Amino acid sequence: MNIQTNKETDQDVIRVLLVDDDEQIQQALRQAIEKHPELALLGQAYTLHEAMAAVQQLQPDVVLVDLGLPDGSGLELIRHIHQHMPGCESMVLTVFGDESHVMSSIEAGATGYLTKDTRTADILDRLKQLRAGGSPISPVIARRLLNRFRGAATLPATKVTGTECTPLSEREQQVLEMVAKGFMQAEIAEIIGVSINTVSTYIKRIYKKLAVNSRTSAVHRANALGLINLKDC
Amino acid sequence: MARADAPLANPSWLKRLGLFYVCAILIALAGASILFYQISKATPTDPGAIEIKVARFSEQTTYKTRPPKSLEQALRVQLPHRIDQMLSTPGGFYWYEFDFTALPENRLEALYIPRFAMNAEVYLNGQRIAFFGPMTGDFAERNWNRPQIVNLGPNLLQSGQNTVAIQVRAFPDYLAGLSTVWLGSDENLREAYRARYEVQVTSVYLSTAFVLGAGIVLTILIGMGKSRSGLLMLLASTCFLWGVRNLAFLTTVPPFEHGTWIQITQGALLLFASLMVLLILLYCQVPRKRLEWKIWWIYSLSFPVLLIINENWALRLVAYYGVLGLCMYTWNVYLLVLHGNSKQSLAPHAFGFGLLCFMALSVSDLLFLAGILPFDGYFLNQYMGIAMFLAMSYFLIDRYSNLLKESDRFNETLQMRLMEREAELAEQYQRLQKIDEDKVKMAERQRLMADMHDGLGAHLVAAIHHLQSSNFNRRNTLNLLESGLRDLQLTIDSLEPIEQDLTTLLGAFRYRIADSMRSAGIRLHWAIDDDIPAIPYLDARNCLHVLRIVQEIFTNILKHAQASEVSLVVSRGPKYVGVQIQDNGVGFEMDAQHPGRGLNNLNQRAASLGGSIDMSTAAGRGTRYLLKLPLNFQT
Repeated sequence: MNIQTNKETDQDVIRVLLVDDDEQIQQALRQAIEKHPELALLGQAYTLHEAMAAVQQLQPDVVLVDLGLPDGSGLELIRHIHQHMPGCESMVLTVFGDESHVMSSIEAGATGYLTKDTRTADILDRLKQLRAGGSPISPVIARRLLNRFRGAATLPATKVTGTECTPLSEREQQVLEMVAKGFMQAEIAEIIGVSINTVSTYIKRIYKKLAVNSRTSAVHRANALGLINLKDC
Repeated sequence: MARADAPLANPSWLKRLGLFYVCAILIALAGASILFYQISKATPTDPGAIEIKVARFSEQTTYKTRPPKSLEQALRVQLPHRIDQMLSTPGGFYWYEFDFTALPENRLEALYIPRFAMNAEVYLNGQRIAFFGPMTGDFAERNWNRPQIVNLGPNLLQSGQNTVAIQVRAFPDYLAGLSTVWLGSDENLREAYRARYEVQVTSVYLSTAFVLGAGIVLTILIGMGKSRSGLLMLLASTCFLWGVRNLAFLTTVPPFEHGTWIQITQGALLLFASLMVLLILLYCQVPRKRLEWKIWWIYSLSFPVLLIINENWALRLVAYYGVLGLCMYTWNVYLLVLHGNSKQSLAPHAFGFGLLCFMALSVSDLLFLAGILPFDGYFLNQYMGIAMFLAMSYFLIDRYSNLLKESDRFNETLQMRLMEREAELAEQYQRLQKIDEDKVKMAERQRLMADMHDGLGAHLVAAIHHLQSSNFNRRNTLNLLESGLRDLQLTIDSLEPIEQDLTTLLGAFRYRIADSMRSAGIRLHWAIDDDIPAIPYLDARNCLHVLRIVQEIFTNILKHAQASEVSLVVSRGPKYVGVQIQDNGVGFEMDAQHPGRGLNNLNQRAASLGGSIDMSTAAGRGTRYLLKLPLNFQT
C-alpha cells in the first residue's frame, strides 16, 4: 500500500483511493490522476485487506475498486463503504462496463463505474460528475434496472409492512426509459426540461434505491431461510 | 387342460381338498338322513292298518261309472303295479279291486293311496266315494305325484266283507299304475299321508321357490350392470329352467293340454341339462375344438327337433337323453376335478361334488321311470337343486371376486407401469433438453470462437506483425489494438441482455462511441420513434450483425467523411424497422460497377438478418445509409 503524503488536501480537490491488483492499470491510472490538479491520489491498495484498512485510515472521497482482488471480491469493499462511510463514493473499475458486473456493484452500493479504457482525459470529468451527484449509466444497465424495478413492484413477497421495495418515481422511470433508448443525459435533460445535473441526480437516486432494495430483499431472503430473525432486530 | 400332477404335490392344497371332501360327504350324508327319516314317516305305523299288496286287475278301453262285473273273476296282480306296455297306446282305464273285512276293533276309517297315475276314481261297495281329475276328455289333471287320503264313510262301510275298486285313467305316453294302498284309522293314515306330501310336494315347492329366487336375484344383478359375466347369465337361465321343470311335479292343473305340457316341462329339463353342460365347459375353459363341444352341440340341437316332431316322444326322450346327460355330467365332474386341481381352487370341486350328488339322485329317478324301482318310490333329484345351486353360486361368487381382485391388481400394475413410463419420459425429455442445451451452447461457443478469431485475433495478429516489421509505427499499432478492443467490445455488447430491443442495442453502441465522436468533434443527433417494437430474432448472433453494420458505417464516417454532424433515426415502417444514418460530410461519387468491399460486407450482414441496406451519396452532399430490418424473420 502506497500512501501519498506530498499532496496537500483542500476542499476542491477530489481525494481518490485506487484499489486494483494489476500493476499496469494502477500505473496508468496513477499517471492520469496525477496529471489533474483537481484530483489527489491518497493511496493505492492491491488487496481487499489493504483496501479495508486504507479507507478507514485515509477517509477518501472516491474509491476506485476493481472487483477481482486476490483475497476477495471488491463487492465487499463497496458494501463496507456504502454502509459505514456515508461521505465516500465507490466507483467500479471494469474493462467493459458489462451489465453483470455493473449491476452487482450497484446492488452492493457503488454509485458509478469507470471502464478501464476510458481516456485519461475523461477520467476527471467522470469523477467530477460523480462528486457533483451524477452517475454514468449505459442503456443496457438502464433496461436491466427497468426490469428489476418492474419485477419488484409486482412481487407480492415485498408487501411486508415497512420494508416495502421503494418503487421508481414517474420521472425516474421516464429517464431510465430514455437512457435505455440510447439518449445521453444532456439530451434527456433538454427533452424533459430539466438541468443535466437533475438527470444525473435521478440516476444516482435510482442506483441508491436499487442498493436499498437489494439489501432489504437480502434481509428478507435471510429471514426466510432462518439465518436471521427480523423480530429480534 | 393343465396336468394336475404338479399342483397335487402341494401338501397344504391336499389338506384343504381332503377337508373339503370330508365336509361335503358329511353334508351329503346329513341331507340323505333327513330325507330318509322323512320318507320312513310316510309309512303308516299303526299295527291295525292293512297294506293292500294284491288286487284284481282289469283293463277297459272306455270309462265306466261302476266297477265291471268281470272284475270279480279277474286275475290278481301285485301292487305296486305299473303298466308300461300300454305306454304307446292311446291310453285306457285300469280297474283294481280288492276285498277287506271290517271289524269294529280294526278302526278301518280311511283309504290312503301313496301314488297313482294320473286320474282316478275310488268306489266302495259299488258306490263312488272319491274322484281325482277328469276321466273323459283330453285334459289331464296331474295327480301322479300327489298322495291321496279318502274317508270310507261310515254309511257305505259294512261290517264284515267290503269291496274297494279303483279306476285309474292312463294317458298315452305317460306312466300309469297304482302303488300299494293302506286301510286304517284316519289319524294314523293322515300322518303318513302328510309325511309323504311333505316329501313329494311341500319340499319341492321350497326348492323351486329357492331356485327361482336365486334366478331373480341374479337377473337383477345382471340387469343392474353389476356383472358382465356371461356365466352368471347362464346360471340365471338354468335357475329359471329348473323352476319350470319343477312345475311338472307341482302343477296338478296345468295351463296347457297334456301333450303340450309334457313338451314344455320335459323340454325344460333337457334344456337345463344342456345349459349345465355348457356352463361347465365354459367354466373349465374347454377349447372349442374338443369333442365335448361337438357332443354338446349334437345333444342341444337334436332334442328340440325330436320334441317337436312328436309330442308323445317326450317322455321316452327324457329317458334316453337323461342317460346321455348323465354321461356328459360324469365327464363334466372329471373336468371340474381336473380344473380345480390345476387352479388349486375348491370351487370347481364343490361344483363337481354337487353335480355328482345330483347325478346319483337322477339315476334313481331314471330307474324309477324305467320301472326298475317300485312305483310307490320317490322322485329325488329336485332336492339336489338346492345343493347344486348353492355350490354353483359359491363358485360363481368366488370367480367373480377373483375377477375383481384380478382387475384391481391389473389396475395397480397399470398405474405402476404408467408411472414408470412417465418417469422414463420425463427423464428422456430432460436428456433431450440437455442435449438441446448443449447443442445451443456448443453453437454459441463456436460462434464466439469464430468471432474472436476473425475479429480480436486478426487485429492482435496484425498488431504483432506490425510491431515486428521494420517500419514500425506507434500510432498504427495503437490503432490496431484499439480497433481490436472495439471489436471485442462489440462482441460483449452483443451478449448483453437487451431483450430484442433494437434501441437499447443501438444505445449501447452509442454509449461506446460517445467519447470518440466527441473527441472527433462530431455531433450525434439521436432520434427514436416511440413505437419501435421488439424484434424477435435479435439474439446475440444477430445483435452482433447489427452492431458490426453500424460500427462499419461509423468507422467510415470517422475516417473519411470529415463530417461535423451525424444523425441516427430509428423509425417504424409497416413491415420493417428502419435505421437511417446520415452525415453532412464530403460524400463521394458512387462507382456503380464496383461498389466498395465495405458495402458488400454491409449487404451480406443485412441479408443474413433478412433485411437490406441502401446507401446514397454524392460528392459534397454527405452520405445516407438506410438499414431495413424486417419485423418478422425466421433465421
